[in-house]
Amino acid sequence: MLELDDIQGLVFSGYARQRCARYWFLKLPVVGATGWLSRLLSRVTTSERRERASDRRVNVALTVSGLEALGLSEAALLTFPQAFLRGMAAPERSSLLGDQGENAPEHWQFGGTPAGRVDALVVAYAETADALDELSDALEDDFERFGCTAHVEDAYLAEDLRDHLGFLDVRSNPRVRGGPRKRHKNPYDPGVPAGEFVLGYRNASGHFAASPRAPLRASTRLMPRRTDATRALDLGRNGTFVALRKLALDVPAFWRFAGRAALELWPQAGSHGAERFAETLVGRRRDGAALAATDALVGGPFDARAANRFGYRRTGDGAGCPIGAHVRRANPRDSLGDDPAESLASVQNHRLIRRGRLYGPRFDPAAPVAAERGLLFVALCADLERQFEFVHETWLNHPHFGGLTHERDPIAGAPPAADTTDDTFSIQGAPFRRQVRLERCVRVRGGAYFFMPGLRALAYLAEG
Amino acid sequence: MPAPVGKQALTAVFPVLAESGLTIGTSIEAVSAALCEKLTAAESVHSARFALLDARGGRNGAATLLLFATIFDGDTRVHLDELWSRGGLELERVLGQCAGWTRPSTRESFGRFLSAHARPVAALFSAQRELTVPQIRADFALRNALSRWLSEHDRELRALAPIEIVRRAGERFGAARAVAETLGATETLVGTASPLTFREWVALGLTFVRSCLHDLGDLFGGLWHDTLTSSGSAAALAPEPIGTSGSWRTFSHVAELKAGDFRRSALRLVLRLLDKFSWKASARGKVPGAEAVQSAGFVLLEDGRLIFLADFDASVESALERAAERARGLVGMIWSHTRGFPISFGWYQGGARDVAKLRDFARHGELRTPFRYSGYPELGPYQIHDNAEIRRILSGTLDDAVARRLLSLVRD
Repeated sequence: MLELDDIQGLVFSGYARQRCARYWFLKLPVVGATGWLSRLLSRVTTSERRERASDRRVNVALTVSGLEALGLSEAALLTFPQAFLRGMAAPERSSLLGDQGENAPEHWQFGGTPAGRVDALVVAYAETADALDELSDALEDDFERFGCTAHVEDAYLAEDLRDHLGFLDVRSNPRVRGGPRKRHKNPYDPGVPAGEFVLGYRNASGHFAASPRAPLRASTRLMPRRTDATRALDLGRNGTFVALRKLALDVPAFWRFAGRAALELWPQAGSHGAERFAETLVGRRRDGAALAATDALVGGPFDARAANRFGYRRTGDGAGCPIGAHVRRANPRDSLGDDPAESLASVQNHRLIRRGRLYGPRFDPAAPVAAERGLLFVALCADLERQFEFVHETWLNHPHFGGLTHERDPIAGAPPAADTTDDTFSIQGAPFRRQVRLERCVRVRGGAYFFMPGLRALAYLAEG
Repeated sequence: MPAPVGKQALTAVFPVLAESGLTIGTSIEAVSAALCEKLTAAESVHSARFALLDARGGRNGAATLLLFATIFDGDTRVHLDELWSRGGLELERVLGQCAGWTRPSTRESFGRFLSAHARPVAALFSAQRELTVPQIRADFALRNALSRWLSEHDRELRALAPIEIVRRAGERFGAARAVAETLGATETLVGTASPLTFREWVALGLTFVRSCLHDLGDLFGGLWHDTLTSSGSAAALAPEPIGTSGSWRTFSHVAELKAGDFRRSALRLVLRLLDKFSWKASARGKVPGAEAVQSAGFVLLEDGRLIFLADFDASVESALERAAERARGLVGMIWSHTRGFPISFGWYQGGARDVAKLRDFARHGELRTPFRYSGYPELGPYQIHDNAEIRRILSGTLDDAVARRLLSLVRD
């Protein structure tokens, strides 16, 4: 049974009603960090049903340096997983994630260099901009009072639920078995145990993900559970790991590229060519329907329930949905190897809960505004290596994904090194594949790994 | 040209001179780029590596052992000659820091030195074991040329039937295909794979039953204290080389066998059968659970340690994930006899199922590998398999289905 009153609300809810959001990437003070966390504690939203009525939500997550600032001992820190300890900007992590060249951490706005250090992430959500400002004022008062400095990002869910390229967000998050929200059965998403996302519960292979421990303290009032006879507390229980990446999208450049590519591929397509090409790169129609979905769905009205009820086996050779299309790489469903059932089972070991939000103004071709825009991508998982990094390294960035030889994800993939092969995207089909040279329009502008503790673990940390 | 005998593995372990123990890693890194470049011209070397491991107070009082391993084609003597002729200078700079190296060094003394320190490879799995380095490279070049040709003549070819496109490709790439076919393919090796005999199955079954009993004994005897329980305290994996072209990665690992004669004899049996099975598996080309494994070799040291040397078409983390998902029985069959492996019972229960602990186990035993080389770092087992199929189709009898198959193999 999930301890919903101890699990932060973002784990089981994307806060779809609270469209406005603000992210503070905090540097905590040398002294007083625990005082700040104590103040924040009462505002943190949990996953409990009764909290769903509230129109304002706050969640908090910490990096290694944040845990250090809160006084967690080195011995306790060393019980955290390696990827988290090293951080997203560590060279070997960058290598796995493809953060090189222009995407390298030294170019990031936060999280990539010692100067851009991030200790904590505070995220606030509200239904209106005014409500968010009001909530922000209260939070920022505390930041100021305790000497926290912040890099701030505003983000939002668009009212039409579309992203900067006009694609409808069909929210293909995994169905969590035992989670508080009921979801419709889907043969292509058989459900994932809560332990894949929340520490302290069994995962898909029946084990517990590695969970950090902390020494038992007599003074702690709200204690996390003890792990075993070692007098250690399970600090990870009801917590999750968060991978956050700020991904800037050059929308005008993308549509210029899509227009040129479409002209090359389908000269007869006219003004719809660019849109068709964008859909081919993504693997979904802009209304959310999957290119690989059944014939009844393609061309029909959008049905949110059916939007994720599809596999790629029918179009195994890439006809319909190219092998390298973004959504296919991010979730290959039944297309890995020779056995669809085995593929689906394997994919369930690498799922992520996505809680991303847009930032920057929407692009209007009629009145273009030059501004940075993109996605604050947020992924939640119990094991950063097995889930977040695996998806990037093995599916998004692997040149051999699905039997390909040279290519990487056309949207979120890392561009190949300058001295290697061309950066191309192939569209499989009869009689043979067509190929276009890619222009990369997404840049990584920041990122970090966070630990989002359960409420009791937060209380423990707040005691210093 | 010597008679083709398929891929072989050479592994030699040398005691490092006491005065070089701390610096040999740096010395290897200093010659690494030059040695890689020279080996690229070698036709027999699929992969090579230097790794360092502690000597545990072993021979000659050395504190460090240097491991040199290659996977190569053909005859060992020819391979050693080629190694010396291509990279003799660099190899001498490294091996000169090991006990027993004699100067002036010659091709013969190099061969004698390696032979004297060679250790038998208990099992070797290698994807497409029948394909030589020149063959693999030629197949890749042929595939790339075909892909370029399709792109360059896209409009003209698109109006044709598949069989006509492939016929034209056959004409266009006839010369390249002919070259590819004369590069020492040893595809008859496929026929040498034999199934396990009844006696071997019985031996495996009995070993399984005894393993279960020993696992129980270990559990109740307190051996679980050897197992790792924390992931965070594990040492970091050796950083992957940044900017390396392709997705090829190497992994060198050491694990200590559990006490008792049974564990050693069980492991020997399992490795012998794995070696036999791997011939058959590699002939199939695409092995479920081992999609990312380019090669995997096992060496048992006299001091009771198991060395595992692998080349992956993925990060080590990713390869471990796949092994845990799809080959956990095999992983348990081998490493459940070693200390530090996640608690297991009867090969299939526990063990590799717990991926976090498996990762810890891998990290704790990972060996520093300051030199690594692959003859085709941009290719994975699937690509090698598909490229060979393209060559075979281009040189075989065509019909519409075969033509479509070939065009579908050029996915990008």
